[in-house]
Amino acid sequence: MTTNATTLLTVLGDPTRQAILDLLLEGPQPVGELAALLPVSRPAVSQHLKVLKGAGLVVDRQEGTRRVYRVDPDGLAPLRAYLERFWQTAMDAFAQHAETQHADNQADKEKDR
Amino acid sequence: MTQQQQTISPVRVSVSVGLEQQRCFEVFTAEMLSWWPASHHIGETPLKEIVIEPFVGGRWYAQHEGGEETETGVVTAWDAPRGFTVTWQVGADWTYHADLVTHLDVSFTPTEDGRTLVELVHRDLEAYGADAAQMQKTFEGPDAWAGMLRTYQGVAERAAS
Repeated sequence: MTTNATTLLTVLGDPTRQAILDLLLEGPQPVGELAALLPVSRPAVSQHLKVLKGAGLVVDRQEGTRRVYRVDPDGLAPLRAYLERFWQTAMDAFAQHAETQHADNQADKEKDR
Repeated sequence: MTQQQQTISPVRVSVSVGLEQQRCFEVFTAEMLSWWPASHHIGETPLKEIVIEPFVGGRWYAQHEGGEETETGVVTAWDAPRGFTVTWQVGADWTYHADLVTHLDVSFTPTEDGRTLVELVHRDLEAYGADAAQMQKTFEGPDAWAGMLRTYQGVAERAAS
């Protein structure tokens, strides 16, 4: 999990890759159109897309003669996994607090009924 | 492909608690400071109190020892003791974002053994999509998300051992 998150951070550490991801968040794009919108060459865009794809942040699909890229929602998997672990830890801590601080009182209350 | 629907499945966690529903709801919402993972806050000084105002439109915020207050979200549904919904507007960079809106649904369901099943759903995670590209900017400082991950992992492992 930490490794995935670290990879994700490294991949997003490049301003061009951030720009590409920003553009793809607005909708799917072929390489040529991305290159036209960015101050870098088409081969450079292709290279960055390869890195983004390797990190699972974007996916591609052949449409006729064009290869179209889009954001892969599962690319946020490391963040999702982090949240899942965070919430489970928080909930476990809640259960422990509730039972150690309040279960005794509840037992007394039930006895008094 | 004109329509682009980006969705991420919600995070769902649950725990069974040995208290009856009403009490369970009260402890969860009114004693948050007692159980919230203490290292997970977005203030500059440690947590002093965590408050969820118990009505729709109420604030969910924290008071810190240094006197500052930090926002977490707002209450969008309140149905004590069955459950509530709040927004979670904390970014991947552990700061409050007015425009990053995800939701937490927390429900309290009595079970036959007299216990309560507490279920938490964190949904609308696709809102983080636009945030993901911004994450890196805050990753370089000592309080960065990567640091949070390491801290968190340490806490989780201590809890597990």
